[in-house]
Amino acid sequence: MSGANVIGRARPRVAVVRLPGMNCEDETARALESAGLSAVPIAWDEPPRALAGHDAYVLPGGFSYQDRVRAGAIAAKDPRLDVLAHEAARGVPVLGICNGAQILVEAGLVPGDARAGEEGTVALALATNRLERREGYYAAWVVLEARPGSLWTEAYGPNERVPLPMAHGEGRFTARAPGTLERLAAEGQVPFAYVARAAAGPARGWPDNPNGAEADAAGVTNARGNVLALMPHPERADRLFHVPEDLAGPWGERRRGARGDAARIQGAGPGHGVFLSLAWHLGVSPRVAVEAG
Amino acid sequence: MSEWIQLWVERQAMDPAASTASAALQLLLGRDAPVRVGRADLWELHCEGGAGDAAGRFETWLRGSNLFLNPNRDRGVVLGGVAPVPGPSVASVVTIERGATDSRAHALTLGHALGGAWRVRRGTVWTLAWPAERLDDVAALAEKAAWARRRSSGLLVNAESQDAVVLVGTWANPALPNPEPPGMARTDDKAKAGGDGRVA
Repeated sequence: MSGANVIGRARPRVAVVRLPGMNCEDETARALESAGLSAVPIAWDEPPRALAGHDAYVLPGGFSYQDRVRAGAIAAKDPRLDVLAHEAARGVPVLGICNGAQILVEAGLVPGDARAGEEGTVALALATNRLERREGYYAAWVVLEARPGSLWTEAYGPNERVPLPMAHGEGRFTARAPGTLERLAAEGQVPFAYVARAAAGPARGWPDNPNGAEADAAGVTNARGNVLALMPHPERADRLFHVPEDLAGPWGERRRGARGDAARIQGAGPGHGVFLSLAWHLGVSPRVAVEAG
Repeated sequence: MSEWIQLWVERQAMDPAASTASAALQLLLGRDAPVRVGRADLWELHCEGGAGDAAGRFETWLRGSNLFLNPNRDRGVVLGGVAPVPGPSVASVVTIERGATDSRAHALTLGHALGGAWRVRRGTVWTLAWPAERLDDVAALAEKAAWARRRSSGLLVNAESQDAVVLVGTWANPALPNPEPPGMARTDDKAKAGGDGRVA
């Protein structure tokens, strides 16, 4: 990726926030670059003001601060989150993937709708997985439904089925007030939901819904829709070669069909749409973004 | 014959989560932060039936088992109903994930080893200590440190997924919130449940 101008202006700059214990920043940066964006790593030891002024922000996955106290709880108190909250209140897109999602929830940015200068209330939790016959960390490919009407699903077809890998121990979206996630889904704040893996239709418990999340929520946004907390990893499915050959469905067929074809196997994978949607939102033309991908 | 037993398990060395929580609370609360933070697993066991003196028999059995703790890393104490970390300016934040199920594997193992019917639950206890001159403020300060309601306040408990009780200068047995199995909550527990997820 050359970093050359895109349709007459510099590529939008997306800050990839690195906190101690995160481990997905490089592949997240590559996925952003593949969508025609410029990834700018910002480390935890840089002053918080270094974060301000970017076109978008990504909190990648990992185990920030070793998941001490609760996953994301310590990072949520980092002064950098004040900067992110301020930018989010201005409408700047913020994406949290896996541990990044846990941080956004613990910081009250999702589903918070704080205005600039105000703080969001912690109104959700990403709690310990509830699995059938087992507990704790779980890693698998799951299938999400990309629901229309969100900036984060713009590059997908309406209700397109998107296989993505998930890997977490605390990914169960839950809230104290019953029906909270259902309400958020009805209000369009759940752009990604787990659905049945084998055939069309809603998730039928585990393993379709791999953690017991209420309303089958895999990704939740704030009311404005510009901050997304997404538990599965789109950056780990950004290229077709990321897709396992034995995956069922069209993406598996595509992967099997590309066996031995070096050019096709480097093509876009099912997770690319998340980064492409962000790129389109930031003004990267669809044609240029697709060529970059 | 029914008996509640509490097993306190803490690290022999410095607990990394406790030291990180202490540093984070210092940044969050400044002079209102606790001067010492500790953390322990609290196992609560309920034994029904069996040959009596369940606590004594459990303690003897525990010395030959690594089911509840790693003896190379942890130390465990069967509490005798007294506060594990005593002191007038010490608060205990006792927390458990809401809806957490009993540990069936632990209960079955104890039933086979010791007889009787067992229930086993695990929670976490955060022990917060303030200087003696803050004695009158400890209850309020502990609440402030405990509940993560906003980005700039509280840390230890997210009320959206966890229940907790804050004990100041006292201890309880059982201490973990909602000790009854789901659907069997005692009416006095329901009455004690606070309005924001806490059990006061």
